[in-house]
Amino acid sequence: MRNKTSKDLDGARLSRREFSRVLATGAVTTALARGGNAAEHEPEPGDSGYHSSYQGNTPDPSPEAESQYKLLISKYGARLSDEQKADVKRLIDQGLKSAVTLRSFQLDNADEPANVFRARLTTIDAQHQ
Amino acid sequence: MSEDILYLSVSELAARIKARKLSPLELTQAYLERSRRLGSSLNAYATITSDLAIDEAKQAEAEIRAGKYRGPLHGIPYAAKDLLAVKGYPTTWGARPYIGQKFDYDATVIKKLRQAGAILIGKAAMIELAGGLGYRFASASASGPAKNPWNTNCWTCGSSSGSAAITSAALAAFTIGTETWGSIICPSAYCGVTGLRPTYGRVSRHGGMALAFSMDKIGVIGRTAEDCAIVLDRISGHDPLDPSSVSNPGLAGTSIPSAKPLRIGWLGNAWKDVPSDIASATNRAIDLLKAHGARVEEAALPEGPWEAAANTVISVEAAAAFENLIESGRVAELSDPLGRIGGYVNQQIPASDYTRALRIRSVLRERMDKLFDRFDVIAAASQPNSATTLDVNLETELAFADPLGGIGNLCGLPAISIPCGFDNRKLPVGIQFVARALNEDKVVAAARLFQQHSDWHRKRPTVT
Repeated sequence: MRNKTSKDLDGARLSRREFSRVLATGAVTTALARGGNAAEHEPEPGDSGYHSSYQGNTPDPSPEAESQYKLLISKYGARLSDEQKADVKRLIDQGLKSAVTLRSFQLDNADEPANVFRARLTTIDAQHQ
Repeated sequence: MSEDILYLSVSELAARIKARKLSPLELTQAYLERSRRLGSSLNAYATITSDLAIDEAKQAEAEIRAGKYRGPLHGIPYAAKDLLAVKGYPTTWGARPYIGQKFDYDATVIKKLRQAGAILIGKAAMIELAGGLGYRFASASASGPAKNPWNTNCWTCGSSSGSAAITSAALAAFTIGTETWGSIICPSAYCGVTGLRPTYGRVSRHGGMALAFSMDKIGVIGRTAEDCAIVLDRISGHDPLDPSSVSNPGLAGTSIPSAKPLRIGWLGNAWKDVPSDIASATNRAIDLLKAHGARVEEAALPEGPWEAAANTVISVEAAAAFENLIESGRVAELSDPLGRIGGYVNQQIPASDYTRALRIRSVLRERMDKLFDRFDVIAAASQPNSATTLDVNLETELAFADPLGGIGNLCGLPAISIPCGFDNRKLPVGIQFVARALNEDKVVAAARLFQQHSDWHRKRPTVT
């Protein structure tokens, strides 16, 4: 993956915390396009494509971030310097901001994942189907 | 051998080889000499496979002399990104923990190119793990920062860094790259070459490093759209070793110009802001296409959390693909400070978010399909900037949204980037075309139309 390497203008520039997450995952968070003409944006009341009432179900990122951080540190903390731990905390926080956008998108019960499981015997058999 | 020969397109080289006016062995030796002389100064190669190349070139020469011409790649030297397995040679994935890694088999794409008679002259440098665990600096590679042939103080972009540098500097006739998000389109734009990202599944991933299982794509970086189509034609097709791979419907049309006017949707919302010098170049490109029969209308990408979804899919799949590396703690050996911790963070993403991202992917796929009812291709600047300097901290200094990249890669859509001018710093500017899945013929047609009536793809950097 490439990293994003252009200046963001008009006040919608990613903060350091936001972009940290971008680079950790190799892509750009949704926070960037807020208020801009890029296609992606945060949900707003009445905005088509978003279920505004769903925002109430979005977890407060702080407890979730804390939970994720504790789990990560319990497993890998001994390997990380204080500076890395601070970086990790920042990245988790930013990731959850992106997750808010993801979780706010309205989906119906029948909206299936794009990767559909297909039962078959072996990979080799699949070519004959 | 003159530089003019080394900068010929695959189709031009092939015509001379077929007519026995150009020796594959001499051509290979010339590219090898140039690769040894210039490759290290550009940090373009992980490995130069001289012995293998000479053996394959001798075989090609003998076969062609005996009248056994295999087709337009016969005797053509190329380089492959160092995440593709080549039996007996190191395959480092651009990363220090894998410096000594070797496989006892060839990736399917390497096999297919060998069957086509192409000659492997080296493994192209790349960003470590193709950026799968994140990176902040151009130096995130076991080979060092790849330098842009147009200005060696500038980066090539990643992760197919060496692949783009090699094609741009004429160290080989074409290269193989991969893209999960941006890794063919961006380096091609920065380095002033033509990069084709095929539909997901068009080219077998067998023998390639997995970054994101459902988003990795193997493609071509060449001089022209026609060259990319020639190579794609040889490397595509179903492979029982890659269950996601598809057969070849529609691919035959990649080299046949359509009689119908091309319908191009010009995206007003692909980038938040594009500098005027880059906008001028892409506007002129669109005007040229209009002048030669294309129908161009304004288009807009659908709105939604597509980038967040793509991000989630890549992050989770990369954390799975590199689980052993992450668990072992050897991520600490990676070059980039972000790569050393990115995997730990990505492991924390809930399964519910990943599943949600995959469901959103289905919704997006339908919306994009509707857009392509109106257009053969949608188009935008390949990047809203030109090559950045090598020392830039990507995290703190530069950032931009890329909804077209997110959408195109999340949906596995084919795209092509072609050079269409220069910016104020005399660095290449690219325009990209994206089409419906399995419609590589459309992106190639758009690029061919432009290249038939322009010569930006023939511009060369001064490399010494």
